[in-house]
Amino acid sequence: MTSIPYAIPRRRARHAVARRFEAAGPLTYLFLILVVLGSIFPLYWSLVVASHTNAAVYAYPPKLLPGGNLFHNIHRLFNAGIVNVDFAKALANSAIVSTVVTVSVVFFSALAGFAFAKLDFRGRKLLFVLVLATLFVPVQLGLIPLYIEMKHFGWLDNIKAVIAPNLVTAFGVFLMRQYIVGAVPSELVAAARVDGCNTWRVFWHVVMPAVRPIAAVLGLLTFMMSWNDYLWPYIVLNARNPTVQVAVSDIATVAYVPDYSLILTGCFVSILPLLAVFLLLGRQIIGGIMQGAIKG
Amino acid sequence: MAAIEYRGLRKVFPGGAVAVEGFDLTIADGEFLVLVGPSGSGKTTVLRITAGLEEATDGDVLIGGEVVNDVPPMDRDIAMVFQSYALYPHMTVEANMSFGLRLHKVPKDVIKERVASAAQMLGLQDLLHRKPAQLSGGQRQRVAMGRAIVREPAAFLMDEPLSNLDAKLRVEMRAYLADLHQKLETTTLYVTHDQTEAMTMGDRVAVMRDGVLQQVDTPQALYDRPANLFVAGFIGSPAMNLVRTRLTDALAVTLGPTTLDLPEALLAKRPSLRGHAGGEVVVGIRPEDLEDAAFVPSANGSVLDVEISRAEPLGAEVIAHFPLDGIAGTARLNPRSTAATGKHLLLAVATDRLHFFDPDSGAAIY
Ligand SMILES: Nc1ncnc2c1ncn2[C@@H]1O[C@H](COP(=O)(O)OP(=O)(O)O)[C@@H](O)[C@H]1O
Ligand SMILES: [Mg+2]
Repeated sequence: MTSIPYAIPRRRARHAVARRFEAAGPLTYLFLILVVLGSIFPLYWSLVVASHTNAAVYAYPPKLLPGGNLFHNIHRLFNAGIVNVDFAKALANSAIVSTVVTVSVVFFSALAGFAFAKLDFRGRKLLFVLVLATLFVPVQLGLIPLYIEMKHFGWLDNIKAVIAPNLVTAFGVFLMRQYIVGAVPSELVAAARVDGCNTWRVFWHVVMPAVRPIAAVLGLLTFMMSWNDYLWPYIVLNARNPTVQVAVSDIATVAYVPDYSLILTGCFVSILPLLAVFLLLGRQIIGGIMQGAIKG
Repeated sequence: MAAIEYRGLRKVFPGGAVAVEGFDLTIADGEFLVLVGPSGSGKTTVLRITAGLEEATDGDVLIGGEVVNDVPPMDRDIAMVFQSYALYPHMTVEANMSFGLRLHKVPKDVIKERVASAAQMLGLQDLLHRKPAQLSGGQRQRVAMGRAIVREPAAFLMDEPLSNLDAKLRVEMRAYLADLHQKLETTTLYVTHDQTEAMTMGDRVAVMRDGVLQQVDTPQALYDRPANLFVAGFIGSPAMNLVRTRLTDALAVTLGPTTLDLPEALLAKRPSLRGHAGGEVVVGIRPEDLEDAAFVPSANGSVLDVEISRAEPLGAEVIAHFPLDGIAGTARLNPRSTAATGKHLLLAVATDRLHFFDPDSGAAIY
């Protein structure tokens, strides 16, 4: 019944694109709010559980509001005697792994993307196709050979084994190449060369500044994937030297009766750094988009 | 400052496209040489090879007397201005201009001084802290010029630097660049597809077609003595009227119903013409060598009767278009001419200034 009065102006507004964006009706908002609530609820729920005792998890009706136990649970989380893993070390490990992997992926992807987009060398096309082809090989297929490799290097139980295989990704190279082809005109590269840049300096002074917006996107995605990676770290690391995901899973398996409040405290704490990075890089991304708009 | 010399330059791109062929040219120290030719004639390729951005397939490039074939761009001591300007978008005007100097480790105070003086010369003082995105086309063009000037290079290479400007600004910048060259006296290789630009700016003009140099000379010499049909048709606006016809045994040419006798003065300038008597030739008539007969008292017989298909009064002159022996003819007439669309008109031909070309080879007959 209420939808009819809104349906008419909305259809009319379709002619003017700008109007259409401004004229989001209440239904649009309602829909968006529902979607947001749906996505936030699991997070909220882990916070609720993390802030109660384990017994409260089984209460009926379920508790919907946060309790007062959060800091106590966090305190327990960082007590190796209780959870049987060094959670602080896990956090530090994850921070190191994700930071190194992110910086490396962004840097090397930009470097390779630049080469594929702007440099002339023999076999360029073939190599790029090969890089892309690796995208079609499932990760699981590589696990065993990679494990054997890490064993040979003597890197098992060391975070090197988590870092090394992820230092550059085919996806990153592809993303960067596509972006650079469009965002860095060949005359700009030529200008830099005539001005006195060697290839490395062209990359550093001209290409890197140009790829900042996409570097922020790639960095964000990579950090998230690296932080949340579970399978591979679980295979090559152990409970004494874990990443945060491995640590959380260890908390879940140490006791006969799982301490859900503790597990979800672990989850909650492990999400915080990710949120921080999102807020940090999100601004960069929006900045990049705005910059592009002004340039346009 | 330095001379630039090309010896037997040749460039074949992978895939087989021959962009430059048998290119021999010397640009004197301090000269402003314009390389002109239609799009795709290989001008940019020559420039890029000069800058070291592209490798020649064959031949040598010499800058200041030294073969630089294997010298990377950064060590060639040349500056280049690009058609798209190619300013660094993330740098301010000042940073754009000083970038090359900073890379070459020029002392800070020298950089400051040169940037300031170039900015003053180009009227960029108030824009030094802007980014390229905040500049107009003309301002960007000047920054691109400034970036080249501060380098104080041995030579400037410019690839159609004015082609992205509107007509008025282009004319202004033309004069401006000519002034600048007078002041700096830096060897300049200037590429354009616009023959007007070539004629107005160059000390000498090199005409290029399909990768091959056609003729190199001063603008006036190119205009008066084109070496072949291509140069004759390319240089000059409106273009020369070129009509294929027969040279009679008595050394006269027929244009439609009219027979034009060739004066002795012409035959003296073009002695080889006698060898073509009785054969086919291409006759070339500059539009200004055709005049409304009413304004030529001594036209004595060298008169064409044409039907004007369009008359364009431009104030200082009238451009008349008419069919002439199967081609679209053009004439530049006295502004008082009564030429009007659809009317017949008698055109006097300055027969002593006719051009002749061999129809097979296209070479001019002198
Ligand atoms: N990188 C390239 N690869 C293949 N062919 C090219 C390349 N650059 C230019 N060409 C060809 O070489 C010829 C000359 O090009 P160019 O020097 O750009 O001409 P101009 O600057 O006079 O318009 C053209 O036919 C063009 O298609
Ligand atoms: Mg070109």
